[in-house]
Amino acid sequence: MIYAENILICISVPLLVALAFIGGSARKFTASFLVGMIICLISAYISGFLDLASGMGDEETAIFISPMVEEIMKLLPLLFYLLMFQPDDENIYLSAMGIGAGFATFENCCYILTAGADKLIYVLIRGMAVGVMHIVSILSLALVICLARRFKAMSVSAILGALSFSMTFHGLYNLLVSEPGLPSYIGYGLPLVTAMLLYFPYKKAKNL
Amino acid sequence: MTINSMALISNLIYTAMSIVIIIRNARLIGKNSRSITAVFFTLSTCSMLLSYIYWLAYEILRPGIRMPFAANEVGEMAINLLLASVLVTVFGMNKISSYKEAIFGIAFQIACILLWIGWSGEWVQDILSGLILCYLVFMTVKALIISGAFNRREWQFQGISLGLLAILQGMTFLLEGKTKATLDVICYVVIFIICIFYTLKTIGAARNKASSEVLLSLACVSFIYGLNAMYMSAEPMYYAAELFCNAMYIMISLAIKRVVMEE
Repeated sequence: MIYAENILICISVPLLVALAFIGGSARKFTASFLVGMIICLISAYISGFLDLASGMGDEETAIFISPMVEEIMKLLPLLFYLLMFQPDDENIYLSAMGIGAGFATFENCCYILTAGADKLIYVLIRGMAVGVMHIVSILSLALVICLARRFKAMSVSAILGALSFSMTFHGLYNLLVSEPGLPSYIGYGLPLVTAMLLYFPYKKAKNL
Repeated sequence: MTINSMALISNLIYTAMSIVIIIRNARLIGKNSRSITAVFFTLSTCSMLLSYIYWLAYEILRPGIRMPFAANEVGEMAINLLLASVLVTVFGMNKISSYKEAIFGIAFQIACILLWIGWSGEWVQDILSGLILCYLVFMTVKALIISGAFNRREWQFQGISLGLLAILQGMTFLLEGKTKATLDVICYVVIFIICIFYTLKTIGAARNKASSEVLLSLACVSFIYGLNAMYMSAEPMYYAAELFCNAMYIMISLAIKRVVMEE
């Protein structure tokens, strides 16, 4: 048993203090990073509740329910920022990266405290897989939002479509890593490969 | 329990098809101001690819265990939502003069949702995916009206045949024994007659060099009908409906290419 709220406070306090002394993009990124960590904690509460309510069990919840909850929760602050502040594309990408990185960092912290960090190779794999996966899923969301806005094609269906795409990607990752052996190796490699594939449309989209 | 080999083969073929469509459509991104259509369509096809891979992974890792409401169904929702976004980019949010066709289309879709619930008993996923399909039906009917893809007689044929199909499928719940088996056969005949109608109409539009808007709206309505035909059919007819549905998805990709290149 770990006390996730205490870990969140411990990591957040130095970042909160740092917020007072930094400005510009660094401040926006740090604030988004903090939001990402808080969102991670709330997602865990919701997934835990749904686990109990549905009676699916921890593993089944992690595979089938958590991806949906986590992706919806990651979208919400980004959508709030977009609708309230009308930021430019650069700031949307910055916030998306911050939320994704904060989410992945907090999830990894809690996981490592539970499972231990004695094997460096496993910790590295965990960082490269989960870390990149959360970045990739939210980057694809931000990419669609920016493109749809630029081409005046912003619609509920576009946002929900991109969200569903992220959920499918996240769900596939969780399904693969839940099985030991070859499936988990494919699962760990999936976010990195997708990140590499996403890099080209991301660069193309920035130049459109 | 082993994996159904027919399902496995068809899944592998459609996975390969999705990859080819993604590569072909990704090249259209950045061509001109209409490339946002290609962006949404490429993302829709990526969702299709992920959905197929998810199904494959699940069947290999957990053979014989019925899949709960999982990511591959969310992926199917993503396909439909992003297709609706494709239609928004091409046809805009313009209002149409008459909504009776759209109302009929949505009523047919709601009838299909009720039938799915009756067959599977899976309330949540049937209602969720059905509502998204209702939105896609609405956008497609708008696209059909704006592009003028159907004449009056063709609208009437659709109204009568789809209405008849919904009634016949509903009646299968009330009957038993030989009468039910006969009615099932009649339902399949009606399903595939409508499939032939849509195939001829869409391929005809492609061959006669109809405008990209006409081809896109026809391919979309055929694809939606293909989805409904799939969910109305049991194996092995399911695979025929799936083949039709994926063939129409290829037609959508051709239409998207025309839309982007025609600018």
